[in-house]
Amino acid sequence: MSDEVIRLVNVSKVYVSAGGVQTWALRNINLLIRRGEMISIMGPSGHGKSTLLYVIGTLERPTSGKVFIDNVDTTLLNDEELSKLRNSKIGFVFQQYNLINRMTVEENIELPLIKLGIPRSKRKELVRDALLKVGGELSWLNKRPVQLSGGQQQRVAIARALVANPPIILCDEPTGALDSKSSEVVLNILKKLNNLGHTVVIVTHDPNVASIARRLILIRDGSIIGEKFI
Amino acid sequence: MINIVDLLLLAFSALRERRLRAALTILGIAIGPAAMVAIIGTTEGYTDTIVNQLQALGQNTVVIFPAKDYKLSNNDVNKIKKLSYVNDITPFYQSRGQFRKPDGTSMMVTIYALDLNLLNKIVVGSKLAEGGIPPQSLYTNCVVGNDVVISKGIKYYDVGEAITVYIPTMKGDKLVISSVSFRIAGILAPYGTVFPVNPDASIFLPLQAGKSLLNIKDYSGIFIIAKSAEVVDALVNELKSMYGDNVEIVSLKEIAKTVTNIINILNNLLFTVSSISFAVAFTGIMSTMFTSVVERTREIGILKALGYSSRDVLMLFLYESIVMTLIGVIIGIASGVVGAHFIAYRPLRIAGSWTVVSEPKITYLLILRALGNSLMVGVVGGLLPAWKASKMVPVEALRYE
Repeated sequence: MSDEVIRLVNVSKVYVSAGGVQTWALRNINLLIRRGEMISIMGPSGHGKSTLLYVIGTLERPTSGKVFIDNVDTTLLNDEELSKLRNSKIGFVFQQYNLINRMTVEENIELPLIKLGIPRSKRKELVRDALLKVGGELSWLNKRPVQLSGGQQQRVAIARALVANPPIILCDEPTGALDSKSSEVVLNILKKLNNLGHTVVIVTHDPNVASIARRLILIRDGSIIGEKFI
Repeated sequence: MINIVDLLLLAFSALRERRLRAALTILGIAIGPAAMVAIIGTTEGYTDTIVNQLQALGQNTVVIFPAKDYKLSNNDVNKIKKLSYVNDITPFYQSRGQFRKPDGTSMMVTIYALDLNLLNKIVVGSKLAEGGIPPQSLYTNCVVGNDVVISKGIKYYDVGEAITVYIPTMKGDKLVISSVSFRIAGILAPYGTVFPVNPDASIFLPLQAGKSLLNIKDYSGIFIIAKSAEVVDALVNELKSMYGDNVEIVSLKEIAKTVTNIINILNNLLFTVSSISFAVAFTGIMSTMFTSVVERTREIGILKALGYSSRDVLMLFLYESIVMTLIGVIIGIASGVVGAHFIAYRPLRIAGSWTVVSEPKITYLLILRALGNSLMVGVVGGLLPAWKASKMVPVEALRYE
């Protein structure tokens, strides 16, 4: 297995408004992330951090350049193939948890497994394992997300991100909506996941959050302006 | 690949969340198949009954009635008898009268004086329950329909007893009610109402009684029995060329054909009317699903981030509209069947005394038609919103507030 898990080559992303005005969200990004790395991408709001994360996560297609995930050029894949890749290789953790409130915790966590076509009985087992791995309680399973605190919801969101055991976990401001105590819990979980072998990429504007990673990428105006190894 | 059971469960979960809206949409969907099954099922039931009754009367029978000032006579009978297509013939006198039963109720009866030996050829399938056909010479003897002697399950008259009927007749320019008594020689088994005659409420007399008892001078018409149903059209054409506008020619075969045509036109019209409710269901489904797509924009983004493809999202939303449609169709068809029986419960009254009692005709084809139309409405109505959902850009959907 190759050491490299994510590679971006000359990636640019340009948004064109209805009036034809071009906005460069990313400019010639070159980035290589190795398997098992934990990296933080830091920069001020509106400077392209989230766009970079979404491009890595194949939720956005780059305007130019190449994005390789596990040595597969994702810019050549169609919608069905990209979805399959996201489903099996990438887990997302969002600032606002992005849980579906009409579903129970169990139904939320099992969503990636449904897409994978895993049988119902096996899904239940995997959902429990994932929830326990993030320090969740089995009593949450039949609750709705709104019945949980912010920190608990984020733990459920992380459980959902890792339930299909993807090698990559992408986090967009994972502690942005949490108090300091809950933030610490969430960051510890991410560290633990990294120790278990998951490649974790965290986008944040908070230096404290960024500092949990061994590698720090600084981004400004859509360009990587620096890189630090802590 | 998501399996169908999971798709259905996800669809149910989404519909459960919006119970009231889903229930109202389902109600809107149910109206189409309900209207179609109830209306078409009822009219097809009536069609079958009417056509069967007409066919039961015999497709060989042609009746002519004098028109304008023309008077039918024995000359006409003899002329027609010679036509190659004619098998049997009898002139007849016809009158209406009121008959009072011992229980105090009165009924209108139709009185025919004709060659009674041809009775079962004219009223095909009629059978004597009691007694016999009186000879032509005993013109005060009659054969009566079942309703004449039996009322509400009670039999008031037996063979050999006399009945009296009040018949309005014109004497000069005065209307006179005269009473005429007949002796019952035979009682017909129950026959059922049949257009254009109601044998159960009729009294059949020998031909001579028309002049002697009913005081009718000229024949009311002539019953002609053709050799076969196939030659009826040719016989009618021959009669037309013989008489022109002097007689009205009624062929039961032609009536059956005309009635069938009219009912088919009516059916098509009713089908069109019931289709309007499908159009309403179509807009209902579409607006419900569009609203749902907008409300669940963020959810669509989440699903895509979790690895659901555009096709998966399309199927998820499409299954929701199909689930609503299927529930609506089941409710609609069930209500339609109940509705059809409710409508058919009351007899259809045509031309005063002629009533048709019919079971609704709910065929598999009708149910399939209702199901097919509804599913088409559900799929097409749900397709555009589902397609819109599937085409959402994941990042934009995730950022939707």
